[in-house]
Formats: sequence, C-alpha cells, structure tokens
Amino acid sequence: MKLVVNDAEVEVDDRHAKTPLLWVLRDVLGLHGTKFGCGAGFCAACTVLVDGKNTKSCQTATDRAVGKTVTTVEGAAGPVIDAVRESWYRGNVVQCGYCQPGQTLAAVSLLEANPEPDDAAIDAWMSGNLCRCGTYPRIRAAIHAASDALSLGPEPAPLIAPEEIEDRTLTEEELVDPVHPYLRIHPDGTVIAYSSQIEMGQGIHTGLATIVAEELDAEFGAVRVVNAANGRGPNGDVYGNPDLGSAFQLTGASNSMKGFWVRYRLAAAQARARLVIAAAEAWGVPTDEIEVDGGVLRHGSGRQAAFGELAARAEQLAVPDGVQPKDPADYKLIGREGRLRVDAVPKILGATRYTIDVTVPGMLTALVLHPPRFGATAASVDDEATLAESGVTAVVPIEEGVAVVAETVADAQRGLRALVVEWDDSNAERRSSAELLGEHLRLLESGENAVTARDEGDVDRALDGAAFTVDGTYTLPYLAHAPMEPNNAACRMREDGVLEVWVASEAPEYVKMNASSIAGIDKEQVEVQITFAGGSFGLHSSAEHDPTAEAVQIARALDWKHPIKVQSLREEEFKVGRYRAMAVHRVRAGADADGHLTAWQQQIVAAPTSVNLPFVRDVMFTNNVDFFTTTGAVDPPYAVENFRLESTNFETPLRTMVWRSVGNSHTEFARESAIDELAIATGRDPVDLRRELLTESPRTLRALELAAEHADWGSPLPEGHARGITSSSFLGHSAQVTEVSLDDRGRVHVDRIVFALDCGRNVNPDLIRAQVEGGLLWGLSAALWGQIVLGEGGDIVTQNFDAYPVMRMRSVPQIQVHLIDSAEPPSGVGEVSVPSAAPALANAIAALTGTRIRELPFSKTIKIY
Amino acid sequence: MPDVTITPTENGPYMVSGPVVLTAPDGHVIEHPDPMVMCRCGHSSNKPFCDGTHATIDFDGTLAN
Repeated sequence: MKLVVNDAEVEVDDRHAKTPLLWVLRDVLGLHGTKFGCGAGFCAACTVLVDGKNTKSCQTATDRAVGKTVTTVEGAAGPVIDAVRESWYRGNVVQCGYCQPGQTLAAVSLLEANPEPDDAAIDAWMSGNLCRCGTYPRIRAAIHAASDALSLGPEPAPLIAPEEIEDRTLTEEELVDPVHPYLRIHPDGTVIAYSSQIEMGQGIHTGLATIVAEELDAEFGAVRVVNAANGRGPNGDVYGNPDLGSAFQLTGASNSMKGFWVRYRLAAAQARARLVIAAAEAWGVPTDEIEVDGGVLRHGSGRQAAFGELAARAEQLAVPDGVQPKDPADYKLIGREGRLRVDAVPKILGATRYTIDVTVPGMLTALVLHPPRFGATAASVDDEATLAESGVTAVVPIEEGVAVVAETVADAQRGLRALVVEWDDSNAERRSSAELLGEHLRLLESGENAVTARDEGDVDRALDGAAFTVDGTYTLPYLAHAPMEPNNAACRMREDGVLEVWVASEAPEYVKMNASSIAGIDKEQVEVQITFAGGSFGLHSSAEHDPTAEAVQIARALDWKHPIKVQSLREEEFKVGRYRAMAVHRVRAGADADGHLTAWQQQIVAAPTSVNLPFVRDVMFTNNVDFFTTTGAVDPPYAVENFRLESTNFETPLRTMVWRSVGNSHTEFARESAIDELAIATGRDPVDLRRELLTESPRTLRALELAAEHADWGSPLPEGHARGITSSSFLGHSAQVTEVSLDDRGRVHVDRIVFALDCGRNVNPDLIRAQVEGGLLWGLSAALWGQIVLGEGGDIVTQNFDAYPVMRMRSVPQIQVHLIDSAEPPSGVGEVSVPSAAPALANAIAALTGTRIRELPFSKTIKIY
Repeated sequence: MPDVTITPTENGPYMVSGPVVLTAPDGHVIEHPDPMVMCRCGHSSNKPFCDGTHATIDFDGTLAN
C-alpha cells in the first residue's frame, strides 16, 4: 500500500491493510506523537487528520487511508495549527500532555470548518476528546484565543521543540556536590534542573524551574528541567523526599513543592554564590560589588559575564558557608503571574517521550492478558493459535497473567485475541460489587474487627444528651485512575549487568526493589530512567505486580535476550485493579439546643491502601489503623469535644492504590455531607455552623469566608437554583461553593464552582489555578459517574471508557478559583480540590431538591448531567 | 433463537450480537466485534458505536413498546 503521511509518500506492507492506522503510524513509521488511549474510539487520543478531518486512527483500518492524506501531530503545519499551538502554550493548557496532540488536531479541524465557534460549538466538537487532567476549560479558552488570533492577525510563528536533553547518570563527584544533583549550568548558559519529582501533569517541573531561576537570578527561559533518578550515594539518596526524612525518592501526597522548596532554592542560591566568587576572582573585585540579573554577572567597572562563561570555573569552587535563599521581598518570579509551563512546547508538538514511546534496538512489545476476576490465576494456556500469528515471538505465563510477546503492538494484539486461557478461581474474588458493598455495610453495622483510631471525650453520653442528631451512612464505589496513557514499562539487561528500566514511576526506589527481586540482582544494579507520565493520579505509586514486574519477568523468561516493553491495553489496566478502595461510612453527630456541635462518631469500612506502599506503610499503618483510610476523618478541621473514629480493614484480593487525594476522596464526602445535614437539622446556616467550628483554624476560616463572599452566599437565587458549601484543611486550607440548577425535565445540572484556597506562598498562581480546576473536574467526574462494577461471580465488567464514563467538555461547569497569598511555605495543590467536589454537590442537591444523596456516584440516584 | 439479537439496554446503547455485516453509506464494510455496542443516544463521538456519552447526558431511552 502507498500512503501519504505528512506530505510524504510511504510504502507500507500489505499485511498491515487491516491494522489500525494508529499502530502503522507508531510501530511501522515511527511517528510516536499519535497516542493510544483506549483502542476503541472512546477517547480520541489517537486523533489524526485524514483529508483535514479529525479521525480516530485506532478505528481506521490502514487501507482506508489509501488515496487520502494523513496528517499527524508531527506533520501539521500552517496558520491554523500555529495559532492553536500558540494559544495552547500561552494559556497554560497542557498538564500531562498525553491527549494534547489529539486535542490540538481536533481543534484545527473545528476551526477549519467553523472559524468563529461559540462555546456550544466548541463543546459539541471537542467532547469526543477525553482529558483526565481536566484541561477542558483552558482548551475552550485557547480555541477562542486561536480563533481571535486568526481573524485579527498577525499570523503566529510555529512553536519549535527544544532539543532533547540526554539522560545522564550522576558521577561520584556530582553525587557529593551540594549543587550538581539538582542543577548544572552549561557553557551556552542553559541551566539544567534535575527534578527528583516526576512530571505527570501537576507542573512540578515548572515550579522547580521557577524557584531555581529566582534564586540564581537566571532568565526563566534558560532553565530546562528533566526527570532524574538513581541518586543513591555515600550521603544517602540525593533525591530522597525531605517530607519523608529524605529516605527515598517519591513523588506523591502533593508534597513536591512543599518538600523541595528549601532544597532547590538553596542549591540554586549556592550555585549563584559560586558564580559570584568565580567572577570576583576573575576580575579581582570584591564579591559584594557584583550584581546578578537575568543570567548575567556585572561589576560597576563595566565588566560582565554570562553564567555560561563562568560556569566551569564556578564548579571548581567550594560552596561558601552560610548561603541563604533570597529575602521574599526581592522575588521577581515567585508569586508573579506569567510563567508558562516549561514542558508545554514538546508536549504540544508530540515530541515528549512517554513510556509508550520508549524504543531501543531489538525491543519486543508484550501485552499481558490478565484474569477476568481478581485473584484468579492461569490454570492452562493454549497458545497454538497465538504463536501462529505473524510477528508473535513468544507466549510467557507470568504471575499476573499470560504475556504475548511480538514485534509490534498490532501483532501482539492479534496474538492476544487468539490466546485461550482457562482460569483457576480458587483464590479469586467471586463477589459482585453489589455483594462487596453489602459486606462492607454488614461490617459497618456489626462493628466486628473495628479498631478505634481516635477517641476523645464521651461520645455516647454526648449523643444521648443531644437536642439534635443526624445519622447517615455514606457509600462510595471502587474507582479507577484511568490516566490517558495506560500504565507501561520497559526494561533491558545491559551487557554490564545493569538492568535498565524505563518507567514513569512516582517511586523509583520501588522500581529498583521490584525489578531487582524478580531479576535476582542487587538493587543498585537496577538503573531507572524516569519517563514523562501521561497522567498517574497515584496509579504509578505501585511497588509490585505492575508493568515493571511484568516486563522484568518476561525479559528474564526470554533469557534477557530482548529489551521488553510491556504496554497496557485499556481493558487490561482496568482488570489489574489498584483502585481507590470502596468505602462506607456511618456518621452520627449531635448538637445542643442552640445548634452547637457536641458529638461526632464516625465509622469506616474500607480495604487499607498504605499497606501496598513499602516504607510508607511503616508509618501510615499502625495499630491496625490505615491513615490512608482515615485521613480527613481522623483530623477534621472542626473542633468537637466528644469525638470517636473507628475503622475496619476490609479483606479482598482486589488491590487498592492511592488515588488522587487518597482517603480524603471518601472521608470528606461523609464529613462535609454530615455537617450540612446537621446544619439543616438544627436550622442553621451551613457557613455559620462551620464558622463556629473553625475558630481554632483561622486559615481555613478565611478560605470559607472568601468562597462564601465570591459565591454571594446568602443572596437569593432564581427559582430552581441552589448552592452547597464545604470547607477543608486537606493539604492547604480551602472552601468550595457549588451551584446547581434543575431543568424542566427534573435533571440537575452543575452550573458553577467557586473555590477559595490558601496553599501558602503561591509560586505560580496560574499553575495553581490549573491544578485546582483539574482536581475539581476529576472529583466531579468520579462523583457523577465513576464506579467499577464487578458482575455476578466477580467478573470485571468495567473495562473501558464506555463503561467508565469520564467527564467530557460538554459537562464542564464554570470554575472560579480565588487564591489567598501567604508568606507561609507553599503546600501542595495537585490533589487539594478533589475531595470537596462530591460533598459540595451533595449539599447543593439537598438544598435544591430536599433529597440527601449519600451514595456515589450521584447518577445512581438522580438525573444529572 | 434467531442468529442476530438486538437489545436496547436501559438508557444506553444497542447491544447487537450475531453474524452482522455493517456497511457504511459508501459501501465499505466496517469491522466490529461481536457483540457490538451501537450508539442509541445520538451523542457518541464514535458513531455508529457507543462511546459512553449517554451516561453523562442523562439519555432517556424509554422504549415505546
């Protein structure tokens, strides 16, 4: 077959006639900018232009493209794509970036057909393209901006991807230098910052670039950031997370900026001090006469030098004692608007390397068939038909299932379809999700195995003596992360005996432990190459039975002859689990005759989560209480004299994993709903009730007042409209007001969300707003529709986006984020807005309809869109 | 039992199982799995197949009979 791809004629073997165009582009033509998301036409990550029209390449047989022109992200050119890309960049649209090549091509197709689309036209057109980071509001704004730019001119210039920076392994010298593990200045003036924190969309690369440029007095544009790992040396792990005692490298708990705020600023200040000394020595002048600005050192005598000119000399110097980061009064970048994401351009251009894009010579691709029920194992495998498929090289039974190894994904996929496996269910979870929920509720009722997590005052007496009481049971389903890039990993055993693993892991130390134990080698013989993550949301925190484990088992079974890349199909990722735990809560709360809260008793039943995280579990799972289950319940922002919290650990072969905002994703639903119920029961205004409970938490109180003020809390709304409010001290201090309305068919619509946040010092306000928006849409999507369903006998029913609806652009409400600036150290924002999305909506629905919904997702109970 | 069964699911897509040839207006044959799940709400971005959108727009699929 002859295809025309990006204006070039290419010859493709006829055996690929029925292969999805996606895999021919990626595996045959090596065009990796086009992404795989679902394989079934649900998500449009694989969007290309065929004769100018946005087309799902996973649903297009390659022979259908013969005689047409195919344009991928790599080949798209001209004023419309340039305008789209420019507005994407200027609008800080991108987060993980994985869906963005498809989004931008869909936007081009829209603007070609309709140069001035209104919101409704944009929503209708773009709702085919899923984004899990929640960049929809910014995509909508960027399309308007591109449309304006095209009509007003001048024509924008094309974005140009910066050159890729080579991976590097720290030398022994670099490991013991105070500066070099974190940043290095090149002779051309480029500042390379080595990020201990993986960039998975949250924007930490831009955050670190900002604080490094600030302390160096460098140009922000001169700083490039790469993912780093393998930092273990004589002084421990240089990339160890200070929030965890610097013991090991971990991105999580939204603590990257909080944890590394001191370390990267100090390293940059030290690098700057060395540059100043180098200049002083070179020029024979005192250091205090040297000024630094914009990457240039200057002396009053007229002498000046760019950083790059003095970098080599400065590196030879010892770091002087007593170097301190800047006085905040001198900040030029931190806290200011205008930073554009440092990872945006390559992501927009499809040049960023995700794990799915890793290729090394001789690499084979493996797909793993996982059991259809959790905990089942392969009893027998008939691989005859699989091995007969062209391109299939091996079938390898592994602990997690059965792997089909092949030259390309399409080959492996044909092989997988031909595989016949009988499963042994003797250790399988055979209960349906409805039965599992029933068992959670039975344990909640019986209290057997319950452990007391916190007990203060006399709750029983206080509840008995209460003038008002509420008693509610709240139920929340299993939830998948479903990031746009299914979870992948690649590995190869090098000739020097080092096992290299490419993976977008939040915990490189886990990768080393996991890979070395399977390979039977020392942990330090594993080298981890951290790739960009096409979203993670906690999924990539796994320490075992994940794509890394699968890749290493397969490579070992094939005698390390081939580098192996394990690619997850969407269905297979759903079947692996690592879900947010199902959780049920019962809250009994009491108030006195004046409506003051006097008693709070809460019980939780959920499978524990921290037990799956080595080291973390040592501190987070104590006395049979999982802090990852009770967080948000055991440490509420509200002062109450009589308080008891009990939790029960649910047992099931279904694996759980941290899921954006962890326990707070369910505990705050129970807590904030129950507070609202108490306000209704006592006839009090829910803001007034919270205000009284927050007298000891002035920062949370301020967020509450700010959200209420901006949402006009207390002012009348038109008929059929209502508001709900929540407040939280999770990560920072926040409050949310959600406005809903009822249409003439009795359906609820989420109209507007007002969110107020104090997250300490605002390093990059626009990136904070982007995280808050994304977190709200993440939480809202799960609250409206999210649930994993296990059918009769435990069959995993939810396997792709058709059965796991996630928010599309047409459902996105208006979002207003109000930031409180503060001189306190920065705290995390990646998860901060997730927990309040569900309870603020539940409270608004109760105000709108009088119906209290205690079961998620909402769509099980009401008509909502 | 007939070879082909079409089931409108509750407020959701048509489930079509059995040996069916699916052709586009231009006559080309569209490959599909068995069973296939076909859009009934009209809002799929993956027509003729379902993409799950029905669940997010409160599609009312009540049957007339």
